[in-house]
Amino acid sequence: MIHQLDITREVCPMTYVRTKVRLEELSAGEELEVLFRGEEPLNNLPRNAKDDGHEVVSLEALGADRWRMIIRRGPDAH
Amino acid sequence: MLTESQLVRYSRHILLKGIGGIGQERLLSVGAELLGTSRALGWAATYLVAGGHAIRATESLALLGQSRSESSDNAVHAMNPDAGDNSQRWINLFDAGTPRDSGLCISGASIMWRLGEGCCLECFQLATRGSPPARDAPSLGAWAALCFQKAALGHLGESGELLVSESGARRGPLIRCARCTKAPPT
Repeated sequence: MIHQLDITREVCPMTYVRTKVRLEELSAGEELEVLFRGEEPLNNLPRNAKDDGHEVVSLEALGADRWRMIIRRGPDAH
Repeated sequence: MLTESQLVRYSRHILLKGIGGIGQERLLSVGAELLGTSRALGWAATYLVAGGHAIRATESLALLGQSRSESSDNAVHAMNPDAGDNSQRWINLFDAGTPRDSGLCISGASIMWRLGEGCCLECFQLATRGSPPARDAPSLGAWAALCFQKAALGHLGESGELLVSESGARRGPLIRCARCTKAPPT
C-alpha cells in the first residue's frame, strides 16, 4: 500500500515539513506518494528526503509544473 | 500530535535533523523549573517560552521587554500560547547561587553544566575555575535554552557534563571534587 500526500497548495518550507511529519508516521520500507508543484520544492524535496535517510524511488513530471515523487521511508531515518 | 498552528509555528525547528515532528512534540511536553533571578535566566526563560516550553519560576523573572512586575502568566501566554502548564516532565534550570541536585546550572562564567549524581556544585566550581566571564546575558540565556532542549530530547550524556558557550557548542572536561571522587558509583 502506498500512502499519499498532496502538498500542491503548499510553499516551502511547509512542503518538506508536511512530508517529513507524514514520513514519521510510516514504518521503515513503507512508501509515500507526494504530489507537489513548483521549482523550489522540486529542488528541495528530493534532497531533503535523502538527507534524512529516505530513498527517493521515483520522480515523475505530471505536466503543468506538477510532480509526483515516491519516497521509501528509511530504516534509520530521522 | 501537533496542531496545524504548531506545525507552522515550529516549522523551521521541525526541519532540523534529530528533531522532526516527534522531537517537537517531545519538546512541548517538557517544562522548565526556573530557580534564580539572574538576567541570563530571564533571557533563557524568554527563549524557552518562545520555544513552547512551560515555565515555573520561584521568583519573578524579567521576560523580554517587560519588567519583573509585568511578567506573568498572561505575558507568557501572549508570547506563546503553547507554553501552558501541561508539561509531563520538568527539568530544573538554575543559577549557580541557587543550586539544586539535578538539572542545568547557569554560571556567571558563560558555562552550563548538568548536575546530577556524583557531580556537585563544588565539582562545577573546580571545572570552571579561571574561566572567562559571560559575554552577555542574552547570549548566555540563549545558550541555556539550547542546552535545555538538548536535555529535553535526551541528547545530553551523563551528569556532570560541561557545556561551554564562549566558543560555541563544546563539551569541557569533567572534574570531580574529592567527595564525589570517593563516592561509590550508583
